[in-house]
Amino acid sequence: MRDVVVLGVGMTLFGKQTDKSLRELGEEASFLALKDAGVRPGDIEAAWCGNVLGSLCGQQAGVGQIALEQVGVTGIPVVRIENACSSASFAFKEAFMAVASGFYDIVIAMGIEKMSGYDTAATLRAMAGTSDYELEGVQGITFPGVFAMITRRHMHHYGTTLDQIARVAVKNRGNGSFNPKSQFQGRVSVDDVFQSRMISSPLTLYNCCPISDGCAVAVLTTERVAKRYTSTPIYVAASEQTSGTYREDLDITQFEPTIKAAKKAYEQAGIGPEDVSFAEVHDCFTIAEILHYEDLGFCNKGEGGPMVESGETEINGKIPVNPSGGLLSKGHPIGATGVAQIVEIVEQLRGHCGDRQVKTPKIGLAHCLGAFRHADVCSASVTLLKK
Amino acid sequence: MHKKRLINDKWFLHNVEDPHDQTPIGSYCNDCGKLYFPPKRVCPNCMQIDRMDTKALSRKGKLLSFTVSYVGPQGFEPPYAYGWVDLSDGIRLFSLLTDCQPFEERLKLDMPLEMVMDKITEDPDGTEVYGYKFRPLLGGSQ
Repeated sequence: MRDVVVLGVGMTLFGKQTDKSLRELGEEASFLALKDAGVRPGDIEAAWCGNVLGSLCGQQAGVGQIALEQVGVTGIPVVRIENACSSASFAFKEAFMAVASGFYDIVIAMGIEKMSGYDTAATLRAMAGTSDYELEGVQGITFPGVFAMITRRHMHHYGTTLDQIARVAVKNRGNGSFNPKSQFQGRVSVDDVFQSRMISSPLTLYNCCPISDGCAVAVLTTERVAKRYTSTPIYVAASEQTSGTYREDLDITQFEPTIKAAKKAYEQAGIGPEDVSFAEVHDCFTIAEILHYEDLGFCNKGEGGPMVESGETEINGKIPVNPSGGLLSKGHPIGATGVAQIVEIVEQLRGHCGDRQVKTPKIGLAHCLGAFRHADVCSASVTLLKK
Repeated sequence: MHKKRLINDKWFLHNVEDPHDQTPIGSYCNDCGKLYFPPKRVCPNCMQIDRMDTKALSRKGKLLSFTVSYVGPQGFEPPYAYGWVDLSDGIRLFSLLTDCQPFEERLKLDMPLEMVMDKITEDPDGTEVYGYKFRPLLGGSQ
């Protein structure tokens, strides 16, 4: 295995961008990433593109090819990856493996999604398809509902409170207010979270991530090639993924696939959770971030609620989580999120994040989940980047 | 009269006329004794195919967790309640919850539930779709 470097990153604004097509979103983020890396379009040898609704909603097949043609990246293999909300994390993993294995020297990992401006019924149907449609989708399951059920069990088992859970939204909206690419730019209070409309009890609207459009792109290369372009490369220390087990007796107060992927990633990087400087995690709903603290080993089981309450996961805390604003504030264009997390981690490690900059970060962790069936997630991804 | 159909014909014992009189079935492996739902042909536990018997699912279980949904896809009228139910035979089912209003007062984690057959939703052409639902077990505080 060769050491792999993230040489350049770029992303669009996240949020509702009804006036922008997939092609235009892809053009902007790809251009920014190529410029940031300092490479030419003709240097790119292969690309992996995370995208979900392109096919599920019948928008567009071959989104990656169309987006990359805009910046002159043509005549190479381009592969679309659909793994629900973790699609781009898996695109990044494929790009990482292609470089690490020695097959290619310079590649692109992209995530792109357009969720606004389409028929609501079609979008809801597509999202139901990220559950087990035959068993659950047809019976009216929704994603807020899944996480609402997890919330109740976590509260019941560990005494976690709705006030603690709301503080995840307060923190992440606060962080997002310092991120010019975040969908939401305003802070919210615990009261605001409680008073927003009920979506799936006990989760109100501000406990849920929004519907978003956006694109994020990363250029990956070898350590040797990177040295021609930069004296401060950002390395991929580990990238590990796993699927669910869907067992009948799973404990729904945790995500086993996260625990497994994190364990393997820490082993691959030769570190422990205490060595992680900051993390971007899959906070699709507030309760999710609390589970992730526990599953990633940032605190003990059941202590996720007190952890957010203590301020340890604030930007200036012991282990900042979601300094970008996370999915709750930055937005969640589902096929783009995994690479957008990589963008934030690279920018943080470079020290380029202004008012939301984490102090002296050394190792950043990206965590993403995708699809849900039978009280388990279908995909979990943990990637570690280091200076 | 609207047409009626089951949520999935292969998941019930008798494809009889009355949709209220149906029994959901799993596959029971004759070699290792493991029970699966929905029914299937391969037992991954012993890697055998077509060694399964059909077995009626337990109609009793307890409520692992629940929610009341104030949003819903086409064919569902919010607010509606659903949950994960752990059956006494070890199978976990996602299911709509019925006969349990007011929801937040009647529904409690770990409460005993029983299965009923009921209308789940309607197809766009008006066909009524039937399947299992769960309701609080009458007199049950086991």
